[in-house]
Amino acid sequence: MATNDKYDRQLRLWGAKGQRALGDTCVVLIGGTAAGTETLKNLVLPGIGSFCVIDDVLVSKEDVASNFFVTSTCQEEPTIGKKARAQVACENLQELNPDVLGAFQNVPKLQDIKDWKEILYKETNSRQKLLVIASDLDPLVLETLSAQCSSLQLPLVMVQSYGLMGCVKLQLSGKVPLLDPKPANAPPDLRLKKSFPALDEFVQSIGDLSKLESHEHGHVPYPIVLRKAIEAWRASHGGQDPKTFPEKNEFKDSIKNMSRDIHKEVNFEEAIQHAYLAYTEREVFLPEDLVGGDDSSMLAKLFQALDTFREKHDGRLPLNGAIPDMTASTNHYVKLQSIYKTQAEQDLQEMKDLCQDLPEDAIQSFCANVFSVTQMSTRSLVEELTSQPDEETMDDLKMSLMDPYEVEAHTPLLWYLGLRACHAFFKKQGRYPGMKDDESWEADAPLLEEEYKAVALHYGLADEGLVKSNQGDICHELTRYANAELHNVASVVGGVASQEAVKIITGQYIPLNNTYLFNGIVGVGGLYKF
Amino acid sequence: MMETEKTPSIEPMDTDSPAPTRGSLLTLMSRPSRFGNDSGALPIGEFEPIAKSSGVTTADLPDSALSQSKILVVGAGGLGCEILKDLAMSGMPNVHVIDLDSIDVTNLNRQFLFRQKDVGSSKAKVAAEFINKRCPWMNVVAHHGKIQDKDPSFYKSFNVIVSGLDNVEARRWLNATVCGLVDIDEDGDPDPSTIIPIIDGGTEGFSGQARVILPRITSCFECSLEAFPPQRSFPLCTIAETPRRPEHCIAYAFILEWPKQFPEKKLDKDSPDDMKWVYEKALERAKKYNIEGVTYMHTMGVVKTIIPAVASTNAIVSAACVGEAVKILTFCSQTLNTYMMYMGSEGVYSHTFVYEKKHDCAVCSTETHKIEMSKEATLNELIQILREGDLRLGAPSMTTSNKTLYMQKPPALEKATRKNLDKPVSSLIDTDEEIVVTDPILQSINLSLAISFQ
Repeated sequence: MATNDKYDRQLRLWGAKGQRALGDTCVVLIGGTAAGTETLKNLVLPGIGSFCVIDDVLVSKEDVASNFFVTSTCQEEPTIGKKARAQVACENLQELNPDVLGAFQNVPKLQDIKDWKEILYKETNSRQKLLVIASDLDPLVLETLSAQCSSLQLPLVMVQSYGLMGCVKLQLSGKVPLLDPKPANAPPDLRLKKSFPALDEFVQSIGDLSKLESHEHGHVPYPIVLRKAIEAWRASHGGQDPKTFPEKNEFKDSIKNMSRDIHKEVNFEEAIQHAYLAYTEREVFLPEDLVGGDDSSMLAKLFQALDTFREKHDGRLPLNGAIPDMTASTNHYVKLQSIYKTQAEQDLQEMKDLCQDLPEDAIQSFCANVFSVTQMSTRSLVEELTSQPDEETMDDLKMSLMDPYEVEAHTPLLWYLGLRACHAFFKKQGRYPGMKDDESWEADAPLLEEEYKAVALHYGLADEGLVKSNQGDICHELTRYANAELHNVASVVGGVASQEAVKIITGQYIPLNNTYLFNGIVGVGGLYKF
Repeated sequence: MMETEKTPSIEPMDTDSPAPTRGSLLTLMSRPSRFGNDSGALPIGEFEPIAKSSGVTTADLPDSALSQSKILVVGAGGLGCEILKDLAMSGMPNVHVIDLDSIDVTNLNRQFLFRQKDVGSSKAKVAAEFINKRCPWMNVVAHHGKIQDKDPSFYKSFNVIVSGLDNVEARRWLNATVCGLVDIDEDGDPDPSTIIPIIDGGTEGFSGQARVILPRITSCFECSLEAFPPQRSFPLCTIAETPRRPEHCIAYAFILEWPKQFPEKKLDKDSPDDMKWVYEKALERAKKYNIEGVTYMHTMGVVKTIIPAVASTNAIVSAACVGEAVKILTFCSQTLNTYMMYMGSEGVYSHTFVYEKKHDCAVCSTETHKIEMSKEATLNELIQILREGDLRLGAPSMTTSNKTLYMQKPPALEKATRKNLDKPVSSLIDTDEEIVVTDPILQSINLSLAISFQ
């Protein structure tokens, strides 16, 4: 053991800021099924502040066989048919991490709850943010909860395991800021098209590159090379940047010509590779809905401050401050690093002055990621069920059926429609298809198929060949499941749901928008926006 | 009269259990499907529903493919803990688990069978004890040790192997060992009864993968070796002459300074004293060059090449693996064909694809491997090619049908064959003569080489 921080391996992903965000969060789980307890397990382990399990049933022997956190004894007392599942799950989850506070509420009947607000907030304190997880809830409970989370603007993660099918759906009401989306392959923030005084000064101080001795020449950092090259270009092109494709190539050639031997001077090679940074500038489009209106959300305030900052600095945006590694002498690299860092610190301070009432972590993330910051919101489940998708969404869904999985019947969207049909079936029959415990279970399949057709119509997919040719088999298979709880499917979707919860809580990475369907027959997953 | 007609329940205690409100794995196993295993792209067996007896769960199922199979779990770490739980929750009681590691405090954010009090104990033992206690129907046997210390006969005794390893070398060893267990008949066809499926998982941060390997049938781990390139290290001249980043200073401290200071002692990456020494030396160097960012945490990351790891990804990958084991053993649904990947950083991307067999795979194909060399190239150069080329072998020994070219051991044989190393290969073999290579990485598998001289 060479470190004593049990969170070491995750801090390397989301850092101290992400960890603080987790610690400030209370996760409320409704429904103590395996999908739910698995989701919560993966949140208790990394250290959320607290959690509360809400449920309305006693432990059954089926729970014990497929849910690791529902045990047949709890504190040396038998639980089956005697203890509330909420309590047993709570105690077994709590035991995973002494840093986390666990609570439970055993309610008489989830279906009878008409007002969720008091229940959801009961075990939280005012400093905490709340995230709600709904696990395998029946449609009656889920739709009420969805509507209320929407009006309370609480993030809701819906997780479901249904035989070999699993589903995770996010419902983000209002505008959820994504302050640190960490896009892959983002270009470095070097501001080489439009420099700033401290950088200009440094570039000047290096003088004429052709006068440097050879080792030094081969270790001039590429941002300096690019600044020199673009200055020279502008001087000979009436102050203009290279615009056309031939001009851009010519600009690259001019860098090549600056090198004494392009095969040996890696710094010039790097400069050519990054030549576009000298004549392109990344832009931030201020979301009109946030800047223009009277929005007082955190993200709106941040963008409003950014607007002010930009005006004051002649269009310049706060600097990130980090520079990538590059071929350079130690002295030049360290100097360059400190120039960017110092400027970024100044910019951050100015932004802090502009939005004094906001949390420091948020301002810092916003400034560091000013080009990638975004917001996300989804439709609620209730909206999805009650109104048809808009044209764009419908087109997207049709498109995804035109690019089916290699075995067409396993295209995840077809199975998502099936799960919706099972919910519709439940609303009519008060049970899931295939629940009869004898040979007659198959009789439900044609009934389910009728629901399937109605669902396909709702999503504008009723005429799709792929739907028509597979709905019979899919409904038969879903009827076979009788909403079976398979631990492995529950654990897959529990993993997905918890990963999404971490992204929402920390504001890092990009959450799924908004539905993931795992087809456990072949192991393929699909992502759809409804 | 009434009393005699009463059906006795299997366990009287269970009469308390609320009536089931949903199906279970047993429901699936007892009902026919249009998506049974034989209907899939990678068929292994025909699904035959079992008789369903009410009041029974997978935890007390006496007689089924799940309860009678013997499963090996390789690794009791982030994936291993999850895999063991998933097996218990799928009614697979006969499990062995092997791991040589001891529990570290940094495991606790995801290896949920371990607690603070277990730090320092054997992972395999603590994990097995936890599962056996929590799930009384389970019988997990722990092996605290290296996978390489077990005989092929040990691996031969399992029906399925689920692996959650964290490095390429162990995966290659396991893969070659299990592929080597397959009997090939005179026509070159594998004997199905000797094929032990390996279901292999791996994670890094928010991404992971699960794959099914049916030795000699599907691609094996070695077929995909190129997807796991050897680790890149920092150029030595940067470390020694132009350090810029904190990691350059850290690399200087542990690659260059440690051996200079302690020529006799190997750096113990788990020793706080050793690591503190490296950290302080790195810090010293960083100060000298005005480089910021050398922290103890960063030092650990660089020296141990730490891969970030979280509970959620391990859960996804492990459950995908054990889900495949359930389907392979019961045939109740189709088999993953053959590779599933999950990426969770930007939204979610998850897909499956067929990882194709490599036609001249050193492990799972019987094809002769072709190598081109100059007439003057020595046996030593051939060894270099085998070690550093695509094959990435470790310590190759070589024979032809009638003579020994070079043997790595025993020492007497090594000494006797050493003189060949500096001779041109072309002088050692006849035209078109094949060379048979053995190597610890390939285990019992012999690789045939055909050399063409230019």
